[in-house]
Amino acid sequence: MRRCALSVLAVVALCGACEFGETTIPDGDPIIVVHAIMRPDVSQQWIVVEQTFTGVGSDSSSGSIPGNQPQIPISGATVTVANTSLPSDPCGLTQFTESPADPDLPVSLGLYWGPPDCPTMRTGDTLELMIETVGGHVVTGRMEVPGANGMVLRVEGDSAIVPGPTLLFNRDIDTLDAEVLPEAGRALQLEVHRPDSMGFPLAVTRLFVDSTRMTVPGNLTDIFAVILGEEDSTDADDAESVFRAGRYYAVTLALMDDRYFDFARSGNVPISGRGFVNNLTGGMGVFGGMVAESNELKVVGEVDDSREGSYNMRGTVDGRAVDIDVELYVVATDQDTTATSAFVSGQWFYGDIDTSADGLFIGDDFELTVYQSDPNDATRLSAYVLSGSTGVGDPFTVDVYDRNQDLAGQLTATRVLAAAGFRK
Amino acid sequence: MQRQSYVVAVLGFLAVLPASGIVAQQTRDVRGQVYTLQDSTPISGVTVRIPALGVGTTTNADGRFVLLRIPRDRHSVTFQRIGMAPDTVWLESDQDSLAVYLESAAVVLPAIEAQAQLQARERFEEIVQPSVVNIDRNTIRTLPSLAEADVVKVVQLLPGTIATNDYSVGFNVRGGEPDQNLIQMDGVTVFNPTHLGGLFSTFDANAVENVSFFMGAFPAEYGGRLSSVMDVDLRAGRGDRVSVRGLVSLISSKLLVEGPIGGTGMTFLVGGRRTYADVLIGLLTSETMPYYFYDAVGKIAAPVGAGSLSLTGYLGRDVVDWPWIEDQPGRQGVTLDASFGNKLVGLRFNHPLGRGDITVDASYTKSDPTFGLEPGLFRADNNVDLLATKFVWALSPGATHDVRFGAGVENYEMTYDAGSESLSAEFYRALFSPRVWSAFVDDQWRVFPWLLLRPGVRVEAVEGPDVVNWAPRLGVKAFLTRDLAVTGSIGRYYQAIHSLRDQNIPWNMIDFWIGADANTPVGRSDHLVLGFERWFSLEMSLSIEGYYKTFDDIVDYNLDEDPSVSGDETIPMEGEAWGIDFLLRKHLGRFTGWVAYSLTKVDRRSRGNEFPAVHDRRHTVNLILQSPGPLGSDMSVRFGYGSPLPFTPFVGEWNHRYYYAADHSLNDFDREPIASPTLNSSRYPYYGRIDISFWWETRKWGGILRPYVQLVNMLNRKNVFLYTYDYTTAPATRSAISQLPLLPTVGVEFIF
Repeated sequence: MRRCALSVLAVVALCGACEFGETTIPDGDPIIVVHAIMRPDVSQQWIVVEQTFTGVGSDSSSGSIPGNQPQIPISGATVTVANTSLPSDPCGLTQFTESPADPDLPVSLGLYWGPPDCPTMRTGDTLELMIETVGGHVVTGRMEVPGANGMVLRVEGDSAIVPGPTLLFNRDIDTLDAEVLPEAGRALQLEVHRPDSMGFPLAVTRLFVDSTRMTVPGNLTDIFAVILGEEDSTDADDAESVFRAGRYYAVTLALMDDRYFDFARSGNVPISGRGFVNNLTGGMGVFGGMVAESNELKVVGEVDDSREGSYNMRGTVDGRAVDIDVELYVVATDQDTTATSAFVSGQWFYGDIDTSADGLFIGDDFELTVYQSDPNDATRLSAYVLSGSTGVGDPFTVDVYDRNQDLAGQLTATRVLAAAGFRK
Repeated sequence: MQRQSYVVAVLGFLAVLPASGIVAQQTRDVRGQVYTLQDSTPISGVTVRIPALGVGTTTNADGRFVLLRIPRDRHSVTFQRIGMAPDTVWLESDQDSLAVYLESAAVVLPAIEAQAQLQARERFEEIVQPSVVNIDRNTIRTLPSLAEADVVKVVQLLPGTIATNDYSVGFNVRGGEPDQNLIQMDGVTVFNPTHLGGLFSTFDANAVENVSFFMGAFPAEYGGRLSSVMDVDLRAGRGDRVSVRGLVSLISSKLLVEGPIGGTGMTFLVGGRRTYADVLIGLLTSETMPYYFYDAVGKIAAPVGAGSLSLTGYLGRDVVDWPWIEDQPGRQGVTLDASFGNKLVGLRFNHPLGRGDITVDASYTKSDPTFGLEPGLFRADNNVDLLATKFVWALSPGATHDVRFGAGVENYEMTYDAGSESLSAEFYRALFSPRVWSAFVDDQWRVFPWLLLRPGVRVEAVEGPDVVNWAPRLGVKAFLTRDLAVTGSIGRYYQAIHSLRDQNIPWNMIDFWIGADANTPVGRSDHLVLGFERWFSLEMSLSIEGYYKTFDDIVDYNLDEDPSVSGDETIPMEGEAWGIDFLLRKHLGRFTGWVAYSLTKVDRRSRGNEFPAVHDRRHTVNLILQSPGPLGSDMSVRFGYGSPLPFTPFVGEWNHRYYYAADHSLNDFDREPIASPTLNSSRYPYYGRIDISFWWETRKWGGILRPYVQLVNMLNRKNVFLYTYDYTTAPATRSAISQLPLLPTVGVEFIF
């Protein structure tokens, strides 16, 4: 857990301390920052080389690195990784470059790509990193390649070797049990995210422990979204549960090595500027490793609200016949206005659909947004809002609106009482 | 005020004895106790004599005395002590006990102040111990402080002592670390002696009788710490009647009740304190304040023959109960649940034995800070238990020797446990359980009337690291005149427990204690003190001492420690300190107070680097003035100056990114500062602060009311607490966060 100084600040605030005397100061001492997580289970490796902020301004316009933007990139460096356990590595000394051969890979100053499947990484191999900048600064690091003999997810008597079949998980009563069987490695990182959150930022919960097994209660509140991060931090009032009934989730189990574990568990305390466990020489950051696998989780809940249940909806949308089953759950039982999620399966605009959708209930009136990708063109995405009321009795009409909020069709909905998946 | 003496003759059990028994008995043992007139505080060191018989004795620490085998006639008994008005009372033939109340010789001063002055002078004349200061309750009570009087805040104003900021009751003594101060309450060790993260100490000033503060070179009787001893004596309750006193301030209220227990000769004292901002805010606003602290202290004292038995207890706790994420339908709430506190109980038995007296202590201390995110998300528990017992036998085998020897054992158990029940994960677990066996002998030898020596030796056997350490001590005092003495002391000191903290964090809520074991060494320090002390009549004293200290095998917190590895929590550190302490103190008169100046240089070495300690403050000045003030008040003024303290500046910031395994990407980050690798390479601006308090005293409703007004940092000087940096802009900027601003507080103390 990264340390925080909220308590210190609280006391300072309590005592009426004030901030004063802002002055300009000389530029700081630049330090090379490296983020390099080697993944033997991924073909394409990358290494991000940046510089610390020292008062010289930042340059965030030069491109993107996987998942984020660079700050002060260090370009033109010589970046190599050697597998010292395998002198005959067919990759040889792996050179990382800012100009990858694959044109689909993101390009950015400071983002260095290795050739596909290089360096060779066998479990337990030692890799050595060396970065030499144009200015002659050298950063080195060393790591051992982690490897797992298997990863397992268990849910109340059911289990899956990861990756495996979708597991049914009742968030109200179940606990998720995750375990990696390490061949080489230190600790377990577990991520929970929505594979079908099209149109929304990928919401991820990330947990790690200093062991190879952990449990996650179904009703766990996602405090990590509140306390972590500069960009996506959530207000405490808006914190949500990690799992919501009516959603599919992808659960990723990752076995990390010592180096990455140090990187993840430690951080510089805001007051002292110390605390980060750095295993690089000549710079700071991480040169670590990880192996990971994912599994799908279908999260259901107890049915204890009259609006919850399984519905069949048939009709036409923009001229196409549709027939879907909607397994619908509300987040706040007995609340008039509440969020809702539902599994949607059957025939939809682009054909077969099996996804989960989010929406809102106000009284008995609901709106549910259903996304679907065109199986023939992943860039095409349909988004329709289903609007109806569960309080008018069977059957009832559901209006379907398109992105422009124009009426795109109507469905006839029928409640199915014995919803599959509600009872295990 | 008219000078008066009151004598209360207590008719004891003789009154109910058969007359024949009285007649048959030719002698009796007369027991008694001497108190101050003003507030019934027992007075030690009073000479009690029956001139006609040529017999006499002196009162002990509880003010008690015994005159053996006194013929059953009517005698006059005299009571004398420097600073007190002498008195003579009649001892009737059928009387076996006396309770005597003496008044201060100084008309304008409370008796207790005179007593404190006397202690200082007696210490000067009788004891070979440099570097010790006694602080009395009156001084503690009236010095300005935040909201209410605070024992530790007063100690921080003495020479050789540095408080690195306003927010901490931790203090550094002559170059030592805060964990090198032994803090005791009636002989019972107190861990984490703070409330509100250091703003208040755990000691209720109303319950304190006296504070003895040894700044270094302490005698062989004391051990276990490298730098200082703060010995806080609680008062025994009043013996004459039940009394209630209390204080209402902006932050807390406290109440203390004391008095005799029936006619048993026993007394009790019990006090409690609680903050009530949480209650007030809840009543007056829709907001909640999730924090409060409370403490309670109690003491029962009983005469046992010519000796005494006392039981001291303390219970204190800081509680944070914050519904951080509120319970909502469909969302389980998360509560931040933290508490810090101490529990201690101590039993002390004191009794004459042969030509001296023996004191036996047995105590139990528990400090158990805990922090959690409930339900079950995260919990970190720390338990420090100390079970200790010791005895000290003080005897005077001859006119020129005062010998003390004793032995004891301290059994520590310190556990750390951090984990998550929800995640079935354990993050850290550690156990330290050193046991320290100790013995000492110490002889104060008056070689000549003008020369005193105090050789001593202490041996400590520490189970865990399994070492035996010998700690020789030697003190010397040579009187050049009756009022001028040259003093010196040299000694070696060991410490088997350490607290872990990042010294670059200027404020810590609690200490995390660990004990010496196979991996963690026993700390060692050598002290050399040379100086002189000069008295100017009985009112004023001046002491100047120079010192040199070494620190070996002390430890620093290893920020790179691996939670799965036991024994890597510390890294070795060593260092030196030298300095000069100047204390000019006026004990009596219309104006009292002191001027304290310290010159200090403190260096540390660790991992091949040498750097100044965070408390390396070159010059410290504290001026304390207590005098009559305007509008009939008693006024206390404190002026403090501290030259710049070192700190480690930040040299940049970085984005500590999050890595997500699912899509092999970096996403989001924490922006973290980066400290310079050169420790303590910069210095804050100098520190300055002026505090003032005014106290009034009126008699009303049969009691005494003492309203007060205090201004802390009355000039509202912005002393720098720490700096914040922004290196993401061009150019980079730095801002300061201040220490305590101007804080006016009001309150009222009452005594009935």
